[in-house]
Amino acid sequence: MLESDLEDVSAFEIESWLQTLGIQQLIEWDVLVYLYRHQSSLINAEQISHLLNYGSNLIVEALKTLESLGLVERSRASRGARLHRLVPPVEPPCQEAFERLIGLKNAHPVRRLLARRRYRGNVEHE
Amino acid sequence: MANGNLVRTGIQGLDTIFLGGISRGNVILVEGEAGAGKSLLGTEFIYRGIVEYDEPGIIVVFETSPRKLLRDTAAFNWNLEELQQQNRLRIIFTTPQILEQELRSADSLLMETAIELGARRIFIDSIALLRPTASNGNSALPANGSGSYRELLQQIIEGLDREGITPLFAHERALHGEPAQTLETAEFLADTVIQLQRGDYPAGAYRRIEILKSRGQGFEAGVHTLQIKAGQGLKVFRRVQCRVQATGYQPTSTIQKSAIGNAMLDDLTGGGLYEGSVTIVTGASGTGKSNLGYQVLVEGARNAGKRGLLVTLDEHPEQILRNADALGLNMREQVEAGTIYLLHDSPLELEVNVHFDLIARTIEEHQIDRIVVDGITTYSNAIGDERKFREFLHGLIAFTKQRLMTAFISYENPELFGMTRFMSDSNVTSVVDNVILLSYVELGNMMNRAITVAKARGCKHQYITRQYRIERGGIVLVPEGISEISNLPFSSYYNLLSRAPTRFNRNIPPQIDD
Repeated sequence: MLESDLEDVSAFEIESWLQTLGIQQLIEWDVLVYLYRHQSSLINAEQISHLLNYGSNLIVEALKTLESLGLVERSRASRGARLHRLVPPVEPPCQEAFERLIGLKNAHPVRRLLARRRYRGNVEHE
Repeated sequence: MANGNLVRTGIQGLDTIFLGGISRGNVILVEGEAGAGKSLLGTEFIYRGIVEYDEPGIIVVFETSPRKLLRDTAAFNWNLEELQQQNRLRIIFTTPQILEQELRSADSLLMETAIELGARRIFIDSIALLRPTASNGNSALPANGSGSYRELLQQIIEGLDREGITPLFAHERALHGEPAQTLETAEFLADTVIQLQRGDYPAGAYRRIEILKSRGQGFEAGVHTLQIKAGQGLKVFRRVQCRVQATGYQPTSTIQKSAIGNAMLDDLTGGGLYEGSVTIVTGASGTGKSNLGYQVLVEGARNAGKRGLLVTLDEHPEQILRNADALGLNMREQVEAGTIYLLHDSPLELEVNVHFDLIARTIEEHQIDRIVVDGITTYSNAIGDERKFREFLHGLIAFTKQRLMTAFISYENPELFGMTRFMSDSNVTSVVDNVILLSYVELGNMMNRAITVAKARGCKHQYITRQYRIERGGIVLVPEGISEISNLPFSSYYNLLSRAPTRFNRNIPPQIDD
């Protein structure tokens, strides 16, 4: 795991890594980090939403997106629960982008950048 | 029991107290308070199962972050991440509700994962959090029947047993309320129950482990010591107890040998001490107990080919070698040649089970023939518990006798002059074979040293108190008839061992009984 020092990482680099992985929304990042920390999770969307303070519909969408990006594996449903597993990319440049982001000692710059993007998106929408 | 019927934990020392392992098919429960080591034991059970016995496993956690688990176990050099990548381990984070649903179901994802992995072991941390879905969270669990915790556990156990998976459940130890109720149920249903304890010394902590039950097999009962070893994991130290069964064969030597190569001393003991005998050497500080011990080891190593071990809590090995050098004994040469070993441990917060294990392993690894324990008084103070001290001493004596080792144990007599009582706090004199007394005797204005063999089992020893000196080479007996004081030998006095030695009347020759 590549450790990235906060002072050495610019917003441009973070943006670039996120783009490489295809992550566009804060919720996608939060769900990704949750799955990274919890390895295999036998859980349903509602329980993830309780833990991350997002609506369960949004969690479902985020999981589908991450699955389409190849970052998450989900099993069949069993009484509403699925076995979720993070699948770290093994090919460059996605592998390096993932390791750099996950290896950040402080995740605030990533969340801040994605939160601003959401804000800008809301403003443009308006 | 055949080995194939045992599940080995792989945890150092734990399989020993299970007499080889746990009966296959047993449901294992580990209980204890926070910080006792339940999660670590469960994780190591899974880890060792994979790397040492090729039994893939699953760890199920409800509260601990699996990422933290990976981080924390890296300190023991366990690469759980790699095992997951190899598809031999799965760490699953879930909720108690989902797990309960899954384990009740025939087509559960968890079982699917277990089958895909070929899992043979599962650790669930902790089952105290499980609740039957039928129960109302605000009301007490029914004791039995539908919706009861008992029924839930039975279904879980049944499901895992069907798949041939050995389960290890963790449960917090509780004395009151619902957790106490669920613990009681779990203890009843489990086939093997391991209890972990954590306590505090005045300035440190200790851990203990006890097997409360294990169906279908024997085990070493009692409270054993548990330690967490950096870079390794858990280690269990069997409690000090006699390794020889009462009905087992006890070897006995009929060979009398010189202990320190001194003919005059051998005469005192009736020709030498029996090999494999245990000798207590007692005397006030400075009478030469340690010196005698050094001589026993050096004589054995140099002239009899006997490997020796000196065990002490008092002095650092370098100091011991310096003292032996000052006596001209050159123990250093034997240490460097690997024929004498020095084992020093700190008396501070002495873990007696750990210490005994260290002595036993050193003896077994180096095939030790002679052991000197210098001095047992420090053990009494360090252990602090009379019963534990006695157990330790009895255990050590039994261990050395079973291996037919010659043992010398020094004991510091608190009385400077005379001896009114001897080791009254430990009651071990009945189990030792020989007792040698070293005393100070004041004659005129000089302090002399006296040696008496008070007991020598099976030997026709002399009941005579002899004068000795400590000089280069060690303890040397002053020949009879010679004395530095007024040309009167010891034989001219009586009450030598009392505080008031008295000269016999010169006009009346002393009468000595045969």
